[in-house]
Amino acid sequence: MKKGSSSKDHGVLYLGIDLGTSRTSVSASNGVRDTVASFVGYPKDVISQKLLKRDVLFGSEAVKHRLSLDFFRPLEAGVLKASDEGGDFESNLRAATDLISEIIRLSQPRKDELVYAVIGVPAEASIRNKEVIIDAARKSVDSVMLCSEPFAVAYGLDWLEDVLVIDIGAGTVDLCRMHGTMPEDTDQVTMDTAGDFVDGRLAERIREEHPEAQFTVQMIKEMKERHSSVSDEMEPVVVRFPVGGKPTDFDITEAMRDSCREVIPPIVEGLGKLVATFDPEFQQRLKDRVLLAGGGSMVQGLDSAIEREMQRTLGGGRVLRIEEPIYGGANGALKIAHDMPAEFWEQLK
Amino acid sequence: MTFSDSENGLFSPEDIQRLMRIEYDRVIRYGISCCLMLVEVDRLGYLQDLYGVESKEKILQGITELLHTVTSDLEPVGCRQEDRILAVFPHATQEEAAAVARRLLEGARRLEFQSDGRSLRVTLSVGLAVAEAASGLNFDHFLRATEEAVTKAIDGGGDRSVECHPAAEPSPSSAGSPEPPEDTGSGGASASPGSEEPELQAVLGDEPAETGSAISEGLGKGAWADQIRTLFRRLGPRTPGLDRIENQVIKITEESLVSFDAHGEACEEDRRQIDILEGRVAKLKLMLDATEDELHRLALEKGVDPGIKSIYRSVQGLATDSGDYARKKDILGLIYEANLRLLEKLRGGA
Repeated sequence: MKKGSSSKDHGVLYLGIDLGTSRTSVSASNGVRDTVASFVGYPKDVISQKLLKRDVLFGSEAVKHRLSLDFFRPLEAGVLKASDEGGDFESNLRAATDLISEIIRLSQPRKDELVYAVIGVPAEASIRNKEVIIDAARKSVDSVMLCSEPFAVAYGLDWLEDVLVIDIGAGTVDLCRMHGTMPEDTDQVTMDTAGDFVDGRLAERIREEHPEAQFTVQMIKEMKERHSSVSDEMEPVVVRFPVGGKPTDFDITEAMRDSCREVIPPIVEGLGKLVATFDPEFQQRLKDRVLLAGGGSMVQGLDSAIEREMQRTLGGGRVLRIEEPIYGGANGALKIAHDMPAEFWEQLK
Repeated sequence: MTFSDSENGLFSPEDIQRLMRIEYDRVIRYGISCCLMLVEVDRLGYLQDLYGVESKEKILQGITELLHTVTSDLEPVGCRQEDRILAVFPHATQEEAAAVARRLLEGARRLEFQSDGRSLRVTLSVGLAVAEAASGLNFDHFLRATEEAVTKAIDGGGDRSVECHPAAEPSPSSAGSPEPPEDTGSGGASASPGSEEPELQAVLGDEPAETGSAISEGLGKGAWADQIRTLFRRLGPRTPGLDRIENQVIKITEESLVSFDAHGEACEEDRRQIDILEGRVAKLKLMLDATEDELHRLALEKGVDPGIKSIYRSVQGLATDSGDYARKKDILGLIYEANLRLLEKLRGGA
């Protein structure tokens, strides 16, 4: 074969990808880190295509132009919508494939390098879901592996023994018990009381208290990301919604705090289950090593609030928020990719 | 060797054929033997479809050179006859001609041609006709007999030579053939004095592979069964034991030929498909390379960012001095196994 730009013998680019319901992030071995909101849009017609000058839009750009797009959020409740075989299967599958291609493009791989990727998926993702993700990723990389998101977070921090990981995403909250080996099904709990759940509760509450306010779920989501808190002493949250076309201010401090707090009891209940089924000798050590990760961990005061709830129901515990909630999963996946032996990558090509 | 091809040479193919006729008439007149050889490259048409006319010419040129090499002591006169190579060997005996054919077949198997970065190997089908002075046949009859012989060789699966005596039907020759010949002319045997004994041995001896070569491909079931019965009749008086053996031989031969035919056809078809697909892959790869080169050139012209280089040039793997080395190694192994199972499932599903 002619040696040319197409031969991939000039390096290996490792990618760690956190494929999330709300955001998809990548950490690459060329130093690139990037994140994109998990939204994909295709121009509805020729006119919008000419106006947007693109065949597909991603992230915030897709959100901005969503009225002139066939708009997709291919992941929901931590799984690909394409994997349920129902509804708009083909379109969601295409959106998921394009989203993965886009996040790989954002990592700026060179054409002459091998690309090996580890993708973090929800702890309890179905086999079908994993197959769809692998199928989509294989179109853009040379070799790909999947691993559970909370496990990737722990591996990235080298916390492999006697650790409880809480990974709060938009679609799911994943709890994972690490005990020095690969977590099994019994070591993992997935719940849907995550970011989208909070958005829904907050929207309900505002609708009850201010029925005249006009808003969308997307507006609620943006507000939550800016003001979310569970602290008693939080700053007042005053937001502006249109009422009959006129922008009007509303104080939603209480609604915001209460909605965010609703995720705490299920999380601590899940932690309690994982602690209770662990070796009694190490239960206290497990409770004292709780890692809080994922986009949801950025809710102000959440670590302290979980500690208080653990104190009340489990008799104590310590929660440590990871330094980079957005990239924690991607960083861990990158580290797994780096440590994986060459022959394993070769076999999975 | 005096040789003419379509492109160059001192003589045109017509001139060479005229010289062949003269040479042929001379050897007949003086009562010496003469041999005519017709060589065809197996599946040359397919190779041309896949790799182009240049490759075909390259192959024919290579075979011509090979013929030069293996026949230098016999001083033949030869020419290209469309995609075949025709050569006359004055003074050559049957044994010498068969030896040339064998050397030619063996030499062709060792040849390797390059096309589109792929190496091609070829095999030959060789038809041989040996003229005796007493036969009194003219050159055209002699040429037709050679063409029939090469056709038999091709129909037998190629990579073999078939000899014939122009006075009779083509007779078998397994020279250089790695596979058991499917069928070759039984008529040739009957026309050749003293050939009954080997044929009887072929039918009754301990080498079942030779049985097939005693049966003409062109014969139907009845014809080759008759041949076997004739051979058994020559063994002497009929006995119940001999009848039983005769029937068994006919039965076994029939089964073997049916199975051999079916297998041979399937193999040939598979080989054809593989050749076609490999050719397509080679062409697509070339197109892909060309497209990627062009994209690369355009990207450079447009100042498109070529990407950021990874800090790693090779796969790293877990460092042995890493903390928790053994534990991490186990964990990575488990991740790999889980993914391998998933991939196998995916491949199985596809």
